Amino acid sequence: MSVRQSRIVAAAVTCACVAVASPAWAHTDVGMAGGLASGFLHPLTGADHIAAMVAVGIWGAFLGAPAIWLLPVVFPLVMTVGGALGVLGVPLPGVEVGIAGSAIILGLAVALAARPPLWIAAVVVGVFALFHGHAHGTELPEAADPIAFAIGFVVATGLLHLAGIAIGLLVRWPAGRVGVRAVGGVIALAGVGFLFGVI
Amino acid sequence: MKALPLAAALLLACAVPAAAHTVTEGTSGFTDGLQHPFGIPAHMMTILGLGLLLGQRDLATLRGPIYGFLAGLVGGLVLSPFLTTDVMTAGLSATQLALVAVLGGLIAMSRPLPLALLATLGVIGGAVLGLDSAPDGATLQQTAACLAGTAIALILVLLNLVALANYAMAQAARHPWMSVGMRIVGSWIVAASLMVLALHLRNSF
Repeated sequence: MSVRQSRIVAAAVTCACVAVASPAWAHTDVGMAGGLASGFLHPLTGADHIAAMVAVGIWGAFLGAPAIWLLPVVFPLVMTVGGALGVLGVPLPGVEVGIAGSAIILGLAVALAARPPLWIAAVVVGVFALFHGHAHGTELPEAADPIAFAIGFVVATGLLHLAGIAIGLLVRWPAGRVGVRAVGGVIALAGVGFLFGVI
Repeated sequence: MKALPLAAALLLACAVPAAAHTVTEGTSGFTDGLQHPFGIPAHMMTILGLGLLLGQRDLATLRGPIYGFLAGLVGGLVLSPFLTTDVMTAGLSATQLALVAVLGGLIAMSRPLPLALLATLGVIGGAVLGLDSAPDGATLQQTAACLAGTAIALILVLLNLVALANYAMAQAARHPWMSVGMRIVGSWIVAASLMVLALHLRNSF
């Protein structure tokens, strides 16, 4: 294995470890630190959120440049719209179905190695970002420090994308390509589980 | 040289939270002012957005925006003790969040911008940071010391961020992920600020 390959594998392992790390419970849930911690943990405490965020990253890496950075940029930007709707109390029908559907569709896109035009990929990711944003936005008003909460969950979302990108970079190797598509299949199956309340 | 980013990360991890908007008994107002911006997420996001945006440009062209920031900051700090009503404070918070969203969006777009626009954003950024930095319940002397500390902290943080962002852009030819990472951070800034702005507006009406 070359030095470059070693670095990519090391980055993938690190990001995967970050994505699955257990939360620490030091300090109290008060003020800025509490807001940051609760915001950061919010996307990490829902398996449906994790699956979809990681899938966005994997799909972006799978599609290559410029999707590898465009999708993780589009997602938080559109998520903001959903989040604002949630904050303002505007109902969005089928939020939970949309979130489960995001895992199914994005997982399938990876599993089937789908390569649609970039704008279609961006629209698909953007539509699902609305549902995830709405779920985050609904909980924002309860946060002790809303801006710290928002920073925390946006950073956690970004790190999940990064973990997905790191996994997606394994497609450079034939075995990695099979593995990444298998991960996509697992995410899609998990999405079915979320949809029917099995998981 | 790889030890430098590691040392910087360790230092950041060891940072102690500051008590915002107060003068702590037993400490000088200057020290409180120096710590003040680090305890307020909105201030850190503003300075982060401004620093990354300015750092995307050639350093030699940044004199106007940096001076604009200094002018806005000094003006805002001088006027900050007079910002007393809730309506004014709420309006300032909304303006700051909107500004942060604009800064994040411009970072994410990563397009060449007119220097006049950057200078205007620098003035507005400095002004909102300065206006929102007056300590509560402090004497005139403590207030002056506190505001001086805040000004120095904000200027140093801004210059460091500009230098870091500029370094990242200079390295982007060899390491494209550096500029890509900056654009992603810009989108995160937009997302966080707009959602809180929506909450702010909801609570205001």
